[in-house]
Amino acid sequence: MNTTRRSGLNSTALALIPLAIAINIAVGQLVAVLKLPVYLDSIGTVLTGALLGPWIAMITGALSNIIWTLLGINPPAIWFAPVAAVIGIIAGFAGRAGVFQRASPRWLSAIIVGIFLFALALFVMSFVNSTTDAQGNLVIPNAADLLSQQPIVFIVAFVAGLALGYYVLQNAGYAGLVGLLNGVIAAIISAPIAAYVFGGVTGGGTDALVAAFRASGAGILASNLAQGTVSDPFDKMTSYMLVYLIIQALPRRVLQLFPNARATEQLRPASEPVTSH
Amino acid sequence: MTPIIDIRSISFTYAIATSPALRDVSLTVPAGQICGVVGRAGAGKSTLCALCAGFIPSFYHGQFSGQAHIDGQDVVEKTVAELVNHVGLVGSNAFSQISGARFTVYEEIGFGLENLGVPRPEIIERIKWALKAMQLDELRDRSPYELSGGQQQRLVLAATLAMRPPVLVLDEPTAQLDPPTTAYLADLLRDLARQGTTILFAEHRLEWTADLAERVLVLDEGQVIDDGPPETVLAKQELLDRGIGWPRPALIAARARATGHWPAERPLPVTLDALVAGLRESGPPTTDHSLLITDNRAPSDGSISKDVHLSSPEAQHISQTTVVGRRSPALSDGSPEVPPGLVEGRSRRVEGSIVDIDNVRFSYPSGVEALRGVSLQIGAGERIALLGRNGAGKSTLLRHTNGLLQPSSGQVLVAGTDTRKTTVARCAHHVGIVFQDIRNQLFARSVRDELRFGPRNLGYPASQVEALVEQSMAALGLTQFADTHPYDLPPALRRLVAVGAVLAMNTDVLVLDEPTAGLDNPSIALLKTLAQDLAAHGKSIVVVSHDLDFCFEALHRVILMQSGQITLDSSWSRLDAQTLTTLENDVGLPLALRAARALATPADSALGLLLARNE
Amino acid sequence: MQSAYIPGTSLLHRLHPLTKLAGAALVITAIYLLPWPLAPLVLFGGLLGLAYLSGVAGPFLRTALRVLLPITISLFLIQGLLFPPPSATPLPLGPITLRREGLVFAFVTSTRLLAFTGTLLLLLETTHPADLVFALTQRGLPSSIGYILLVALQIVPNMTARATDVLEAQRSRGLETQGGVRRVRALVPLVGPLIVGALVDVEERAMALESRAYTAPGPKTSLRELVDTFSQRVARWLMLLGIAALIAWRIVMAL
Repeated sequence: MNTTRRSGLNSTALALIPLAIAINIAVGQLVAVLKLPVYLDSIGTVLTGALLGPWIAMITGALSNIIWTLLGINPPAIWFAPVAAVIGIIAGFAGRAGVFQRASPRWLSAIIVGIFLFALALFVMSFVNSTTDAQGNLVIPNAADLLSQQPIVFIVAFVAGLALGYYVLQNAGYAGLVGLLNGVIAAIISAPIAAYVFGGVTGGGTDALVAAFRASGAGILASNLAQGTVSDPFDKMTSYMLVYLIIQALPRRVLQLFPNARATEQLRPASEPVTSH
Repeated sequence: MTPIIDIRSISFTYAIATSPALRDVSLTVPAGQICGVVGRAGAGKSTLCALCAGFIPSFYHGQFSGQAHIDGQDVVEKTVAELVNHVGLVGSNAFSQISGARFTVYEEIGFGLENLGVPRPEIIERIKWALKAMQLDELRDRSPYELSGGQQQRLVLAATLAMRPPVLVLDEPTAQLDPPTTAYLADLLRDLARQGTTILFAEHRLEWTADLAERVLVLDEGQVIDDGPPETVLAKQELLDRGIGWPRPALIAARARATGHWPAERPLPVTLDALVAGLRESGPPTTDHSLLITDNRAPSDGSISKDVHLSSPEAQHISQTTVVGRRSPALSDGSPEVPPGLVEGRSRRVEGSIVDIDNVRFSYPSGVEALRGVSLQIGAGERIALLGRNGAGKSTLLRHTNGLLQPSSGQVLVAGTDTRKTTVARCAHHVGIVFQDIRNQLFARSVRDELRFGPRNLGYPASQVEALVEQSMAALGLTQFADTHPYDLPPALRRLVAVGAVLAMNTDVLVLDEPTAGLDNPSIALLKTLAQDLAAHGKSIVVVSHDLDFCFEALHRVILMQSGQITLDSSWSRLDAQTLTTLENDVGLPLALRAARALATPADSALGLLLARNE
Repeated sequence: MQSAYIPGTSLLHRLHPLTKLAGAALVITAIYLLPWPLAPLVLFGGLLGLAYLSGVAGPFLRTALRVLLPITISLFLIQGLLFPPPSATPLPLGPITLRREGLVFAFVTSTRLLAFTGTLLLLLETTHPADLVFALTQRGLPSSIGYILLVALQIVPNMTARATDVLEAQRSRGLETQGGVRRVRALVPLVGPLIVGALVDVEERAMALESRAYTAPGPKTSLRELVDTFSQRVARWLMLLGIAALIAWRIVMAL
């Protein structure tokens, strides 16, 4: 008689994960219809992390990419399953830390994104202004030189960040920050896969960015890293922000299924009487 | 004999709730009985169902007291999985009860048995039995997700029955079904009961309950307020007082009693058969009333009076008022030669109609031609029922009224503008649509926020938005829930939130797709009043629904779609024998008209008038 | 169902899923480990032949090209023509100068991806996903992972359709989805109902799963049966040996 092994996932997790995977795919397509410059194809993974923690979100992320392959839509997607798994883990720990429950003051959101955009500008400008020496090695310019040569770029980046944080993220500053960092980490992990397996291209719009960095003399891996750190953080920031907004507005009947999602002030000690009979 | 369902003083409060869902409920059901549970939305019916299937307190946590045994099992102590051989629970939403892990109907039925470790030969045998019992043999190799709602419902029943539970619990089994499937389900359940299955079901449709149940339990605010055979329980005054309502046969007989067509000493009937038999016995009275079959309520009178007798002159007066905004030649003159409803209206051209659909054809990219030359004008103050079977083109037509779809040929004018030359968002100033699956619409954290979304999109100033939201909440009885999350309301009220969200946009035309699905009687009554009030203010309402009784009682104009064409465009009051037959053969008839047909009552008799009186 | 599977009765269709999986693993190892630049293209040719014999050549080629054409163009354009390695050998061709290493890199990368995609496609187009998952759960894949994969495969089309319905419902409520900043603001009312609706569904789906005894203790049985033969078992072991041999050979070469 055939028997199969069981796992520790409960029925709520088992019901949620396939829906989260389908959300990843459906939202990805919805955004494409709206022609927005983001993918949001890991929003279901981030959601699962916020609701059920890192390990279940890790499974959701990895299986999402396997589903892309199984559906025959994009067979090579399976290569990026590790990246999706890491996104899930980070979102899960972020969920445990309460970033989806905690509102940040708007000024803090503004400063967070301002500083981030400033750092990103520095990173990008270093690539764009890099030169190649006689041996073909990349020479990264000094940060202080960059700041003094083109201060306007950095001022614009910082101010744009302030505005983005204040007007778009609003109270989702903590979630937004983790999203931005998650984007950087995702970019770092996916850069070698993109470089070695895909030759650094995707066949999509972001290839223009890769071409730009290649033009500045960077190698394939470095160009991919630079491209990823420019586009991924905003995508993940938007995903985190949307999950934050959705979790803030969840009905009680859903919160009952997902105790993690309850706002911090609603959390009671573990001794709370749940059932008595 | 020990009862198969034995519940003793159960009280339960959900962990997330402040007041109990069940208060000291006791119930014993002998094996093989069909027991119906009725009550308003939020009365505790679903909680009782969940309790019987063992989901309380193991799945739903909360404060619990009392004892419950089903088929000798302690449902409080045991897990759901341990109880599946004893009791099966089937909810109203078949789609989310399909496991999804199996690719054919055949395998889906076997899923639960695999999980129980039933040996393969026995699984196959039980699947064959369940396929036969639910008449799914022809669908056995189809994907569960390709089935219609009614077929999916049968699949979930088959999968549950395959585990051979002696007790079957159904929570609002008809909420998502059309009339033929609803009638079919009753036959299936009767068969099962005959073979020994005990059936407990919670339901809003009182006529269906009266027809099927041997015994009815009435719940209100978590308490059992009555328990007995349907004919004694369902026509008690207390049900009206508590807003639970009566089955329509009882309502009609009560009206008949007032006009002397139903003897005072005869108890009120709860089923159509009893109504017809009773009316037949009391003899067909003759009368000199004129032909008019009428809407009884003038848009201007607003209030609902139950005992208005429609003498001819009054009826004529009312008919004239309902005609406002429409151009009906014959309605008000009382002439016996009412022109047949068929084809009437197709050639009508109305000045100033809000939506003007002119000879529209539409094909989907797949090549399916969903609309084949449809013309329709929606004027001011109209109450329109759009009827037709699934696939007749109703949804496609709806999506043309606000530019979501644009015609392949012909044109659609919304407030005089061609939908090809404008955007959906601009059409939304004039036409508001509430789609059937309201989950696709709700997202805000409170009822008030949800209602604000539409009028804000339309660019109304804040003060006006607030005024519209307050009005809309008041019209639908939602004011007390203004700060509640829509999803924390019972499904019936949640649907009213979706309606309110579009109502608050204050459009000229309000389009509702299956608005009464899963609604209790008080909510349906609110929608009826809403339809009257809108029409009285010169606004129009279009309803797509399988609920013919609602369409009959709340709406005036009847449009039937068949295979992408409008084949009937008339009003309830002007349907003649031929058009009634057309309607009956395609979508069925409202209960009152079925009674009239069964009695072969002339439409111009007092009884005919009485039956045809929409209320 | 939406999946790559194309029903059929060919030899490949009838093989045990694990045999095909082992074969796919061997081919993928070869694609990335064989040192000859033409090897992936040759392997792809072999796969195409198999696809033809299994009656799936049409969809096989269509999907492979749809996925890989844009990537290949980008590869040749960016890494081959525009930005080759600085030290690459020039290859004059009329008025323009090509660079050898850049082109080789683009060629090898794209043909490897092509053969990789082809291998997975051939496996998926000739294997029912339920058989594949069942075969894996028999070999120790947790049944919950198999369950998640099968459910996800089936509900993706439904969720995609719901996304369209949400778009329609909210546009009908006056939501403007055209034009700059407004589209970003439209995300909450569009993504919100999709996610909240799904989360509300979770409750009912979880209840259904309990009702169908998914969480029952004790061993499960299976309605589905897979045909396995002795020769296939031998073939699987040989293919696994082949993979090991390839890896060992490359390690020895590298030393």
